[in-house]
Amino acid sequence: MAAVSQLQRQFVDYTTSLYNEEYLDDQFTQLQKLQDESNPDFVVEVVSLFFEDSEKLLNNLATALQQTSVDYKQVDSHVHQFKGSSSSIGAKRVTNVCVHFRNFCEEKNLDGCLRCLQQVKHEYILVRTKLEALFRLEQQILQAGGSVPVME
Amino acid sequence: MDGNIWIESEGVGKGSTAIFYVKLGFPARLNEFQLPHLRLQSKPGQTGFPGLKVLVIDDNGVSRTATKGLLVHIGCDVTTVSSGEECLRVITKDHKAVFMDVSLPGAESYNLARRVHGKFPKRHEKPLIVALTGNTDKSAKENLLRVGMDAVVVKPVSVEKMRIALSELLEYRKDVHGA
Repeated sequence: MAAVSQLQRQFVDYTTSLYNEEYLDDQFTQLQKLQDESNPDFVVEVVSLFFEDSEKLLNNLATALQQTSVDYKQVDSHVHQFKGSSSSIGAKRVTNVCVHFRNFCEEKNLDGCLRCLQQVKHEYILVRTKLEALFRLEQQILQAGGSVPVME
Repeated sequence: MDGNIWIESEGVGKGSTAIFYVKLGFPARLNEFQLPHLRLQSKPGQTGFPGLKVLVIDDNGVSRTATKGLLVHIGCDVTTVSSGEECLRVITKDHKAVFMDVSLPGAESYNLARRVHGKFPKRHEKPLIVALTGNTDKSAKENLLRVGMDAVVVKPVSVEKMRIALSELLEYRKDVHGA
């Protein structure tokens, strides 16, 4: 059907752009390889976990950095978790900001940390929006009777 | 050295013979996974590990779910825990391998390898302990091996990398533990 192949082309183009612009990296492809008949919603499940985890971490980070006397070890521990979860789903830009964020924690640089918090929140919102759009496209393809193209 | 020593004698004044049998290996060669090898891998590795019972320790929920998904995909029977304490409560001699994310807080991962080994004094009951780390530092990897990890795998881990690592580990286990 013309509609299905158009959707599939859209999917391929969109996914390619996400990799080219480094919103996603190979780890996301690896997650997709783990999705099969016995685990058909694996990617959505892991990514949803990432969304939940990230919202909590962003709140925790905001609270920790608002304290009169900032506990940088605590801040670093949250950023470390964020780095771990973002790299587990291939959210490359988020991971990259976390690396810089950890450096500022080590230096106990409050300004640097606050800037990174804004940046990581921004990158997280971007990747969340894009992944939600990607999943919507997948659903549209499936509902139109097509199969989701496998990206290599 | 896994061998035997005994003394034979035909009697007083007739001398004695001491006999030693020892098992010697080739010098350790560390491959991509920092796994000491006793022989070169010459046959293709396993592609599936049906029902292989393994344990995953990771305090990060997203990372733990991703690692579990990967191991389930290659056929393993996976238990997951989020702390060293939970690991020691849950682990049994049926677990053939433990995948430990070594960003566990503090020195937990280092002590854990020792405590897991301590829980299974019998050689053939000891699970293989694999450290999963994002750190590509050579000295960090060597430290992990020194504290009792059987292998170090650098994240991110692809399906292929995990298949090869597990395949080589099980071969190594057969060489060293005979099981």
